[in-house]
Amino acid sequence: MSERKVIMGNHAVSYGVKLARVQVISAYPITPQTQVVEMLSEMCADAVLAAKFLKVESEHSALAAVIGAATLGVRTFTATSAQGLALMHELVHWSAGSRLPLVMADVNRAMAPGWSIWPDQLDALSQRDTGWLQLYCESNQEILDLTLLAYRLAESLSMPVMVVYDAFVLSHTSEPVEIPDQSEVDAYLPALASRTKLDLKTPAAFGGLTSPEYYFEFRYMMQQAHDRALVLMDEIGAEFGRRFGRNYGALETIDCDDAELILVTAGASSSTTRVVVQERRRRGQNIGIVKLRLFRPFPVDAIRRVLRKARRVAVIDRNLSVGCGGIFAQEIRAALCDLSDRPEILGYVAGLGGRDITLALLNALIDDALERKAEEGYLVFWGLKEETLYVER
Amino acid sequence: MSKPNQTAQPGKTATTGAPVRTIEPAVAATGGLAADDEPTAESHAVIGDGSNVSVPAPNKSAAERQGGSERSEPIRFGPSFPLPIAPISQGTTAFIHTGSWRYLKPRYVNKVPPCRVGCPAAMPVERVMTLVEGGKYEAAIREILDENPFPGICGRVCYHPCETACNRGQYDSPLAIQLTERFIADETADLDLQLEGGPRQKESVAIVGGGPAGMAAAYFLLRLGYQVTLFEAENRLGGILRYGIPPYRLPRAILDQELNRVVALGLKVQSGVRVGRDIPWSALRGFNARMLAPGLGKSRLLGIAGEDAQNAESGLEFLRRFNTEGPRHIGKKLVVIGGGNTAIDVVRTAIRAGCGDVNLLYRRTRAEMPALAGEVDEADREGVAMSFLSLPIRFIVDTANRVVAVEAVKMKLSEPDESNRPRPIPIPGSEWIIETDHVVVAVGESEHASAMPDDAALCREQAFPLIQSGDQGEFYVGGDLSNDTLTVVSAIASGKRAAIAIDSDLRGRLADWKAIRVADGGLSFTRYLGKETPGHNRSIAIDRINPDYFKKQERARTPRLSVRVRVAGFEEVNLGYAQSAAEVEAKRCFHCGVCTACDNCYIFCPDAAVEKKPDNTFSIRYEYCKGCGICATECPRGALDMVADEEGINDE
Repeated sequence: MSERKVIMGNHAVSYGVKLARVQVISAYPITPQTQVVEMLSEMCADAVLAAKFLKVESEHSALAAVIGAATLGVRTFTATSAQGLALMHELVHWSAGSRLPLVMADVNRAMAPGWSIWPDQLDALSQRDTGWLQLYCESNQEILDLTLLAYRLAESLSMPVMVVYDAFVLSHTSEPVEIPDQSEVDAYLPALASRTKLDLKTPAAFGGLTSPEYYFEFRYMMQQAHDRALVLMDEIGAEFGRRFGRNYGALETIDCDDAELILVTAGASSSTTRVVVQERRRRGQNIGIVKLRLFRPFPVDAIRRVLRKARRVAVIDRNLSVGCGGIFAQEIRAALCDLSDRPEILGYVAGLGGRDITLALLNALIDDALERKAEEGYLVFWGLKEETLYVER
Repeated sequence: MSKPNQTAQPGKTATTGAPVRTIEPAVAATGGLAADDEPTAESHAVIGDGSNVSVPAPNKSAAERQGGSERSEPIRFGPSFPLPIAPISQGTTAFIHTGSWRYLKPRYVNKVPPCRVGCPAAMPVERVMTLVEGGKYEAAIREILDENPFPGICGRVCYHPCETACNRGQYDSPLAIQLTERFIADETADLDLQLEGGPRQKESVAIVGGGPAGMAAAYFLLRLGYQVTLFEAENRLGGILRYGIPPYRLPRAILDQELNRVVALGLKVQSGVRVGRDIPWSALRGFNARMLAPGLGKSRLLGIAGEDAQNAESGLEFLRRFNTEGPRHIGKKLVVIGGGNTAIDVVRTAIRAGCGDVNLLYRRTRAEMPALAGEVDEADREGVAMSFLSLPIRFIVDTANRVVAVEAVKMKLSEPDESNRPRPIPIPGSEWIIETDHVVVAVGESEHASAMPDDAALCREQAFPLIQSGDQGEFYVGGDLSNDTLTVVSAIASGKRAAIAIDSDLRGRLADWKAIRVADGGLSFTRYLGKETPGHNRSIAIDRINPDYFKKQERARTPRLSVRVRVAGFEEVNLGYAQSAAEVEAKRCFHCGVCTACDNCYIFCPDAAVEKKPDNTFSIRYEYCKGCGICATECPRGALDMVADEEGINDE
């Protein structure tokens, strides 16, 4: 029997990891991730979860530890945030190239300096080229569900998956979450049968020097795995829906069929956007939302299908690739650019470093997106303090 | 190493139709899939992407490929496609001789631990600690007895320079080596050890003096197989051990037991015989070698008025009378002058003999006292009144030539004198008078004129000192006559030195004095017998010890008899420690510079270049060792040295 609990986003991850019967956990604490592994360590100590919990001296070591464990063919988990993820970077690449079915939770937190513990998507997006799949969550329920789904994805593809959610807005905010029954989860997520496994009886070297004769092909195969992930995401997302009543696809579309303006969001601000758009609909404005759930692989076809009908698309990026603009906006422009009948795309950067993305801010953004000249919409900083707007530094 | 083979052979066609590449070893390193083209079924690694794909393993075992010789055959890559999902190789990298990158190399070099260097008798403390940790007490006592015949004695009265030298002293507190030595001696006291001697020799040796030096010389000579006769002026053996050191420091049962161990080896003892008085020096001419170890029998005087009074005597005389005649009445009040161990022995003995008011006068301060600090502390606890910076200037005697008071003057310390201690200078006008019933002067000893032939003189020009006499010829020498440090353990060491000198002269073999000396410490009998090789004969400082591997832990404490009980008699004050404490203490040993097979080098070597041999020793496969130095850094005890690669592996 599933049960409902009012829990924080961080603990939703912990419950997900427990239900996934993870065997090895290694993590280094960092705000706002700490509670995830605190609860897991308690679960291990209480023998509620039969996992080996490895304490390590850094995030780099944490990921290295789960790489080692996964190479032996066991199910693993780690979690981090911001600077911790950046410290892992070398091994983020390594684990993907090794085709290890890791799952990691990343609590979106702004990169320092200035030292910040508040939400911003740049930490995870800075890892977009590593080969990890990335899932962005909107609610605590989605965090738990996508954690389970992530293991299915990872282990089906032999690729690592990152479950990403906003600092504090989700990590430390309590919401009602339905915690599925263990037997149901076991049926959805069978024990890991690893395909690349270190067998001590047959010693082998993993990830050794690879000549130009072969390297290229290994990368090609990683791309193939991501291509398959797009199909798999729909399949296992639908299976999740059949078992647990909540469907998950690469995208979630809200009122897009007749929408003149479609807002593209990812993460917790999608919820705020829903409220604003509902109100706008009541007032008769045809506005829709595309919520990006799967960012890697990027669901290009699905994006094209849903966005090509709109007149305008406003992408809300809680991140900034300095020197270019919002990262989601770039990807969406790239996905649509070779369509002949493509919408006008406006790129809004908002809420960096945890500045609140409020109803008022979004209402004003929608007004602006409906009015703005398209050629002035490539990169719009939304919600800056006015006095900074005219100062060059 | 060779360059890539540019002419790839048109190899056999694999089932997938992809060509088989042939590449020479250097380039094989660039292949994630090094493998032969004819795999055996057993060696397949089953990995794949959706389907089972085999990566063939090489036919040759990894072991066959290791070992340094250049491969003549090229490594072949397996079928290129289908690939596994990630780079994986079952080939060996043994052909990559990473050792060629090295400019430093590690070398196992066992050192001489500083404790052993500090011990004049070269006691192998570190080996003993290992044995004690393993509960092997008999093996431990045998190790000690190979260098020192008197562990029960040294375990009680030695000034333990080993502990001063102990590296652990710079970390938390030095090992309680002396207590451990005593523990082993006591624990094995009842064992019949059947100490082996060398082959029986026909030569005879005469030794004059049955103190620690003469008895030690006798012991080592007996173990070398000689016929040894010992002449002792007193009625019983032991010298200072019996006639000087009081029984509360050295119980006579212990003394007798250890002296008897020497006698039991076949020593002929002529006691009560003073050579030069009871028999002539010429009586020793029949011996093949002769050794003198008479000690310093003459007490120094203050050179002040009244020293010849009836109730004034020297420290040695006081102790000798006590140790031969037992307690006697000396009055209610005693003044003792001096700051050495004899003075302290006198005051503590007097307290036990019932003298209620014991006063010690010393012309410098407590810090400059030559006596063992622990002994001074105990004297303090037992109620001795100590006046420092106090120099007697005359003894006031009555008409019966008995001292009734001592007049003394206060001193102040000035610049250091030739002994490098601050020179005491009298403060004019500070004189005062102490009434007393008895006076003991214990300000040092000098040699007794009758201890050697009339025309004899000490000669130190050889590797070992000799006494040369025109009439009587040469005598080997030991004990205080030949030592600068007037201690029991130095006397033992000098006895060992004389025994080695006698043996090497009589056997006509040249002792390699440098090799048998442990680093710059004492002489090792074990090494002289060839039972131990000198190896890299140098010591090791604390900076080579890796403190990460050692928990701070204070040393074992010495349980002592309560003051109330001890001053009522002559029971031994220091009680020694228990077996559990011995093991705890032995575990504290750093084993400075000595490999204990802890496996750290073996575990930490990133190139797996450390090999562990069945006998628990290690060797380094230099063809793979990159010289990173991790093994040497992670060695807890500095048993690995990093040296320039040009040096040979076994040089020095």
